[in-house]
Amino acid sequence: MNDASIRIALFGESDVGKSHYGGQLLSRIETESCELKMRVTPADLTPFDEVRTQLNDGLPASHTPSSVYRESIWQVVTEHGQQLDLTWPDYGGEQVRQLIDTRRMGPEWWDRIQSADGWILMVRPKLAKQDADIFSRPLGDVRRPNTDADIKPHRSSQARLVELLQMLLHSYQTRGPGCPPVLTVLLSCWDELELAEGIKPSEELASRLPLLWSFINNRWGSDRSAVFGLSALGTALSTDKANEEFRNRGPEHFGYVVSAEGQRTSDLTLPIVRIAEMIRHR
Amino acid sequence: MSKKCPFPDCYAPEMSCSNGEAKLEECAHWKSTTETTQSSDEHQVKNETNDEFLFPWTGNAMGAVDLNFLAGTGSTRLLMMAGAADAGKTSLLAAFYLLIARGISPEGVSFAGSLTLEGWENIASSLRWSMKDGPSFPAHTSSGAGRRPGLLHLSLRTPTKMCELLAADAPGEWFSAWASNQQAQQAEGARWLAACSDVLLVIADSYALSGPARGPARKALIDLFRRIGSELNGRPVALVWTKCDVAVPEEITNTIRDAAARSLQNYLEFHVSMHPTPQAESQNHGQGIVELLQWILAVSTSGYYFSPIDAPERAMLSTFGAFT
Repeated sequence: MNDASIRIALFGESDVGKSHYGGQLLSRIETESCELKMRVTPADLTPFDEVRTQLNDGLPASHTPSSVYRESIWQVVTEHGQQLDLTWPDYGGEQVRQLIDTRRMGPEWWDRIQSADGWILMVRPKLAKQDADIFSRPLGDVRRPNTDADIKPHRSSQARLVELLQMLLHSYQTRGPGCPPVLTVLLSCWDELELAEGIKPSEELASRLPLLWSFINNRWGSDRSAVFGLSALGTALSTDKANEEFRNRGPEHFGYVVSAEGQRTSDLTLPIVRIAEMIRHR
Repeated sequence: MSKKCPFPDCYAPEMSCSNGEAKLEECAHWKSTTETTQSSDEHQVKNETNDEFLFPWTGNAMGAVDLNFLAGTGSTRLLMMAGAADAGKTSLLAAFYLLIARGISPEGVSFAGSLTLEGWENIASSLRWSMKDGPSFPAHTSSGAGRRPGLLHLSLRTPTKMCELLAADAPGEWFSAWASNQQAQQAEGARWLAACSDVLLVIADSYALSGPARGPARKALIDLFRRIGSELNGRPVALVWTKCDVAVPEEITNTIRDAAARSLQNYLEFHVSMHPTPQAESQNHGQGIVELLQWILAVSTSGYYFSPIDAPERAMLSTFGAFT
């Protein structure tokens, strides 16, 4: 495959870092500090304009409005000369939450699912942590007063994410038999997990969200799915105090991806390159 | 929205079209309703459902009608858990789910999906530390107005095949009524389960059998053995002692074992509890629960014929297999 278009369908609820990743991805590709290089300057940079302006000012991007859905087309080339037209979306995460909660899929989402070559599921592990239960915390503690102030009643995140993938699979299969698009899981805001270097993202997913990991393994298998750690910014930005290093050096110098083997690399396009490989071997 | 599809056993617009149409407006049955409605109502219905894609499962416990969706390829295993109210049936189901959700499952068994995640979450939430007061046991399963049990589903990859496990979260009152009178009106759900199930568990509540009402509890359990024994027809059955951290007087245990041997003949015995044994506290998986699940999934269920007259839904699954 020398020339191909790769359309990405990105799924993630609010606050998982979709816009930050999109903005940083574009900056990396533009500055040619990664495996993918831009062939043609994108005609329209507006979808990520605001995000990139904020990041260059050392501030986090504001929340993407829930009604927004916009796509960018980036014409890139890999190190091996493979030409790709990458379609990358940005939208308000409420749309995914609404899909899960209402169990109704609008025609535009149905089309996106059908036409995508690769699906990316963005999960922020810190927001998706499991509650302790009767097995993880001994029953002898039942009568003990609960001192965890942050514990609130809620459904388990991993069950929601499995349900989302089941809905995506089902809607995809309505068009007929065939393998679903390759799946990449990005464990976002990896830096806030404060993990030692060398930890494999797939092992982290398996230990934090076993139900989701097992589901993906059984439905996609290891040759059609991949798990990466992602820290799009490398650190948390504050709305109160601008990060001077981001202002001075530029946000394109920050952020990293954790490869399947657990190695950190500043090349944020690594997941896209892996998606292109998996699609080629389909 | 108040409008519903008039087609029997179709639950559109809550669920997708049972006629197989991807869009509701393409279904003749759905159209026949919308076309006869008042204009304002029609406008609302069309706006809300026109192009939306709906799903054939709700995530909640399934009814017998929903089993149609499971018909496809693969194998189903319907589990009946018969026991008195408050014997721990729902807690045991919740424990299966919580352990699998923690990545703890029998060797070679892994989670591959569920059409009833919402239903599992509902029964499991009370065993979680997500509430201010910490875990409690699930609330009583209401016998309510339902005539068939809610079925909870798990797709599990086992060492030999994909298994679609369906477990009934049925109220204890159904089994009490059924044990006393096979034809009792309140026992329809128990009769359906007895006709449809592949694997049967009889639940012995260690707490009740050691408490002040142990005499009536023993009598009720022995009645249940007889009823199940008469309808077993060679299907695999196990006697499951729940809350096994509570010691049951030896005389009662012996009487129950004698009665089980008379009525059930070939049966296995399991002892389960949410409490780990003192030596296994660090493993965080209670007692006996993983072993019981392993047996449920591995035991041979071949050789039993489901009559299409007594159990049409089950016969359909036997014929067509299960969706995977």
